[in-house]
Amino acid sequence: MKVKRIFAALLTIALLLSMTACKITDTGKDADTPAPTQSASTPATTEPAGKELYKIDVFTMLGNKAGEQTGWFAKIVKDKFNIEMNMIASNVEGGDTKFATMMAAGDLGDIVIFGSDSDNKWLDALKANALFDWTTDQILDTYGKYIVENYSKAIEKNRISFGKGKSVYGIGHTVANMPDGPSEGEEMTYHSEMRWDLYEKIGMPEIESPEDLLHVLKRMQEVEPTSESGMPTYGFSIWSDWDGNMVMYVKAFAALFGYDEGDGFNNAGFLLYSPDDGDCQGALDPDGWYIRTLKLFYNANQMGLLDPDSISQKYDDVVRKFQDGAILFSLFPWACNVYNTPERVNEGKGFRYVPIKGQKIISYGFDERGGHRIISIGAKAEHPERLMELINWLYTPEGVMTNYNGPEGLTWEMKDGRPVLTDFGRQALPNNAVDVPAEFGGGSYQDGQNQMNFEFVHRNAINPETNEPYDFRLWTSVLEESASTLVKNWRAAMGALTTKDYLIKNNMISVKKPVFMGKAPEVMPDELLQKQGQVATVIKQYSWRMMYAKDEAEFNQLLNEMTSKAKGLGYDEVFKWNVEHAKEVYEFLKNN
Amino acid sequence: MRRGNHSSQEKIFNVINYFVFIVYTLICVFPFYYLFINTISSNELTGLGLITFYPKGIHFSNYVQVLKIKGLPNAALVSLARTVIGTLLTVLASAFLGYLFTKKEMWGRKVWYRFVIVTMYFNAGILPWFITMMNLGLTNNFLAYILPYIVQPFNIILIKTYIEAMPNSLQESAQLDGAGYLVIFFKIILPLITPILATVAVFSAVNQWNSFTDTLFLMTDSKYYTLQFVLYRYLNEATALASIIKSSQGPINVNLQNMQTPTSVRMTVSMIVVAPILLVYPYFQRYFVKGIMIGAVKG
Repeated sequence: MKVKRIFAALLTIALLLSMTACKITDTGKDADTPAPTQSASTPATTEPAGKELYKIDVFTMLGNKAGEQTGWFAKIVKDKFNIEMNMIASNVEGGDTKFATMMAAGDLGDIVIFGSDSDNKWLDALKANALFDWTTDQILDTYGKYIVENYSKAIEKNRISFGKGKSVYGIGHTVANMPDGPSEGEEMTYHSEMRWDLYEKIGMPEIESPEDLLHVLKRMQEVEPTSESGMPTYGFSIWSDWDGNMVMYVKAFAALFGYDEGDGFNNAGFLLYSPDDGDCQGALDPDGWYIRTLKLFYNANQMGLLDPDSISQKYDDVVRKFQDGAILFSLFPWACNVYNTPERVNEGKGFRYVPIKGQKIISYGFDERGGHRIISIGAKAEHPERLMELINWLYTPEGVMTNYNGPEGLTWEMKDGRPVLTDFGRQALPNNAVDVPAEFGGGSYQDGQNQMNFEFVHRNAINPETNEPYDFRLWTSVLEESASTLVKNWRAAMGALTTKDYLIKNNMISVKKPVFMGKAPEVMPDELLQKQGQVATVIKQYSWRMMYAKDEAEFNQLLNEMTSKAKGLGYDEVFKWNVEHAKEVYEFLKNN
Repeated sequence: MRRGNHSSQEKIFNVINYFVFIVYTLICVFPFYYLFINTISSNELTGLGLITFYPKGIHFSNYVQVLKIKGLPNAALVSLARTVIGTLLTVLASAFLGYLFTKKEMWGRKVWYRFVIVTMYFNAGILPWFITMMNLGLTNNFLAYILPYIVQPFNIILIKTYIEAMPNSLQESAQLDGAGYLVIFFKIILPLITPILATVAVFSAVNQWNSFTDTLFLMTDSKYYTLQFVLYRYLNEATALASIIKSSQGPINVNLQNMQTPTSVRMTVSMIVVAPILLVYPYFQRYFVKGIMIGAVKG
């Protein structure tokens, strides 16, 4: 009996406790209506920026370094705003669970940086009212003047998408108020990148078509049959761990000829879309780029140009092979640049872009509404107006230049109206551990970087004060000065300063404009999504087998099997859905 | 036993015996040795997995780099403090509770015992735990390292069963001489259960030393950071940095030879973390031996 009574008492206590817990969460939700009252009252009573020291927590879900911000960037922020920043970087401190505990505590810090505006963390934070509304007390208009005047579309996007048309909770990353055009730097995302030294050795023949590429690569392979470590060389070495609905490398090859996966807004499915004329190709179109590329890789394999490891290896393995010089062609300049070490490029060896006739390389345009990463202010921030001032500065040319290229006078300076690197800048940029003089904050340059790891304005956008891009790598002074033997050889042969220059001059770029239709992307019905998954498995499996088919007959037989199986599983339905929505996007962009 | 008079069978037995134990020792020691030679070898070779039996391209920059981390001495101090204080209190509390639960006359003994044991099987999960700790004011508070670890059901069970295995007559005779519960506990029980206390102490010290999730979620003030947490963060930062360097555009001027790689950092950090706690075992070992001897004499 006694035992029962004790149990009853314990249960009651437990119940009471759990109810108290409910109450706590309830009050959190009750405050759900407009803006948090606490922060609304503060701005009126406090002095704006620069007075007393303000220590803030910056919760960045993109950062890779936690703890106090030190070094040159810390000094600039301290001197300008009298703010000290403590970085909380969930990437290195517990990941999603860290976010969950901070949400549970009801305090996300003073400045909050989200990795994506479509993921649940951002949406949950909005729902829980954990973020500060920038329109409160006209803080945005008063302290965020530069943003309002120059990046109003980015503000509008946030207002429409997340603020029910009135509130503003943040601003996106890589904003740019630039005319339509490629947003890339020296290089595009996709290239036909080849070993330039070998290409020179075989006399730089013009490449007429993708199929012709194989003959050129074969001759290059004959010139250099083994890599530095003695491994056999191959024209193509591809990897399967990035495959999505199709084999990644095969579908990406179409991007050299003006077709990119998906319309850039809705679910991509099996669609290869041309931003220039809105043409839609399916993965199974017999005349489409996907099948054509499969055939190309099949032929490459027949000629001994396709690495037999391709089917089983991962991206990291391929990078090692690039490093070793075992691969002659790369679709991505950022994958093969590990080969271009300073020693090699000074000997004239390395990967550079080689044009293929008829190329239209997909490029992604600037987005004046900003990207999907978001910087915002926490609802519990004591002085939101001072944070707004800081964020505003980070979007001004001065802030952007500092963020990307370090403090003026240390890493770079203005000479004849153009930015040039200083000796220190040449050593320290982009991210090297060089000691910074004490007057600029001391420490190493690398540690002193802004640890928010957020790109406020697009690094390739033009700085209105210098008329050159923000990123130092694209300054004329740097491009002219830092050329290696390889680059000089390439420039002499191509008559252009950078790959992007060459492509623009020859009208070989197809710009895929960012799409914002003022609504969420269409969600594919579950039934279709399931079909898409099944079809994708078939397409991927067969694609790999086709590339390694014994002979033409087997290739064709596999192609037929793939087509009939995929269609049997509902390929046509999925593709029809893709095409309908892509047409909508194309019409929208044409009329806007 | 007489010397030099072994039969051939004995000799063979000895040879095999020694051989087996030498191999066993090597298997136990090799991982640590491997870890060590990898931390002092050229990081490039380490990354490629080329260091197996002896170090190549010896350098100590890994250790130098790690020792340069800001706030390391303070973190080591916090770790030491929580390990010593935490272990001491855990051992004492577990011993006392374990003893209490053996007393049949204790009020509501079974209920309390089960109440404690239940917590071993049911765990609320990280968020309720965090909210509880927050409401108890245990964020940014050194006590968060100590208080939650005091009542450890597993240790209590260990000690309780150990005491139950001891002859009851010992306690009864003490009682006849007029000793109360506390006197019996401190004068009779504690000295007799040192082997199990040593076990509990080792468990709890290792636990305290290795724990970093509490720092991760509860502490934002760097003065409460523990060694494990600081190194954990350093390791993550190094990994992130390595992937940035790998994916960054254009060549970067760095000395690849001794540049820290995630592998080298991981190994160095493991070495630094493992070394101090390894010292705990030899220190407590004498209690284990004593325990076995006591048992032997009594038997």
